[in-house]
Amino acid sequence: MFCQVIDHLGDIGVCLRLARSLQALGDWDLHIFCNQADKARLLIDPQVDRVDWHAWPTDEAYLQHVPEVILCAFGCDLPLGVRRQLELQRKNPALPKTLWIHLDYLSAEPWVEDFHGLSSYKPDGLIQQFYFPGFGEKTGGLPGDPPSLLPSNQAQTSALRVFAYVYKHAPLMTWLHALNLPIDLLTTEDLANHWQTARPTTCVTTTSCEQHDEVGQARIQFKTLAQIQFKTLAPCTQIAWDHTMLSCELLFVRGEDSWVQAMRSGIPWLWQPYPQELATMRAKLQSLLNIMSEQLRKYPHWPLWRDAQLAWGLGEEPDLKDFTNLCLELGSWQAMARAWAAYCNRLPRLDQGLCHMIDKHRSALNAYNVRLC
Amino acid sequence: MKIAQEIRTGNVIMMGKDPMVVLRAEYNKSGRNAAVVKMKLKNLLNNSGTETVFKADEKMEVLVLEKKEVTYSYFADPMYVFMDAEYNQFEVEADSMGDALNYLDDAMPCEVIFYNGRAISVELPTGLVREVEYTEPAVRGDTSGKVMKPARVKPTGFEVQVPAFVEIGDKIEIDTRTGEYRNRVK
Repeated sequence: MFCQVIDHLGDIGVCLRLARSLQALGDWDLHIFCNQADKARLLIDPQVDRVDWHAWPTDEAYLQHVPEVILCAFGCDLPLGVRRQLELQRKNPALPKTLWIHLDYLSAEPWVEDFHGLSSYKPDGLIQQFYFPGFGEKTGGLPGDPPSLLPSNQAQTSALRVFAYVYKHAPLMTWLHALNLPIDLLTTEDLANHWQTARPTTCVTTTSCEQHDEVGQARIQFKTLAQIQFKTLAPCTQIAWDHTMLSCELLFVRGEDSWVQAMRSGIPWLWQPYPQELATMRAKLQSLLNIMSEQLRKYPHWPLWRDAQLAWGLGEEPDLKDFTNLCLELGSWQAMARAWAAYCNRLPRLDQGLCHMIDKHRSALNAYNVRLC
Repeated sequence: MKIAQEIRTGNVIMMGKDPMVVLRAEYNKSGRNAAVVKMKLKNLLNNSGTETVFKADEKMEVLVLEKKEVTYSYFADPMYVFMDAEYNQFEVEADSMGDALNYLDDAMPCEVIFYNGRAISVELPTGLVREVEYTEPAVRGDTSGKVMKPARVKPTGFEVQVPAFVEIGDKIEIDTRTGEYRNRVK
């Protein structure tokens, strides 16, 4: 796998999770080449993740062995040296051919079904398979994996336990203050600092303290801002990150990895897509909400979740009264989130779809080798 | 060289040693400002067809081919016939017309593209004005232009998404590269 980190650790998160689930499905000798391999090591749990992480190869470097499968996460380009190796391999009929996969972003848009699985013919004669994750039967399936530890949905304190991993421009404080509830906010250090700096007049900072979370894996710091108690997560493994999410009652997530795990968790969530042109984000959100509506329209509070998601995702002026009502009806929101999670966890899976594509490639190669013999 | 998102219906790109005419190019944005383009192609050497996909910023060689300004004349199944200023006629196969069929109108000016002396496709102006034949009436209260609705345009019945304020009989400009509404024409 080749992974180019663009903005944060979510790219690594997707690759790490995919590698873990591929290894659970078969006997793989998996290597991940990453431009921030040192950061990746922070997310790895050595007891669970048995993947070799390597620094991004220079353009002059060649791989020791050309692998059976190369997967370019989020459509990243291959280093030039590796690309040259593939060209040499193509010109030699005696060499087995590598399956070269372009793994694209998850999208709920209908066009994904038409694009998934198509071959891309390169000017140098190489062929790359385009793989599009998605929600439909004809897509490459949903990334992530169903959580092994299901949320209890039992309030551990009187405060609402909120998890936030969002882009900095998200107006989270406005939304949370509108609730007028005591809130425990679990978030990353940079986000906590950002919000505390942005709202200094209402910041009532207590002496911070530190303790371990319920599963004893993530280190958490405490600070308070009005009714919001910030609990800052120190860098932790992906497994600990997942456990922390699952211990919360409301999830504000972004990007792909945390979003997919939120959807699979059965915990109420709101997703912030990567900032793009407004029309692009609207199309992506609307497509997702159309699929969700099919599953959730029977729930009386679905319109509140739908409208809150649209406003949150687009950064539009929300109807905070409706959002407050939605949070006050947390049991109903949980029921919808569980129904959506059950749907997501029944969908075809990305890891299984990839294995199927690879199995087909291996069968074709075997047939080719038999003909050569 | 061009990048994939600049490729239009009627362009001819080289795929290995094969010249391929683009019958359709569909552009979509995937994630984090990345985009992909799906193309329906026809091999000009053996007429075989294929569908393929590219990252929008992938570079490809585009052949510069002879073009001639023509107007649409008539349909003689299965060929569409075009005529130049000297009354020469050129026939283009229906399969090679691509999205041009969505806008075809009597005497419509366009360009016919030739490969080895053979008319292989049609290139349209990037913007064309068409009259709205039917669209649902606007819902009162929304004049922002953000809410879109389908509209059928003359003479082909091609459907375009238009803002809610567009009415039957309005003339609208359509971007022929994307099939999207551009603006209302007075």
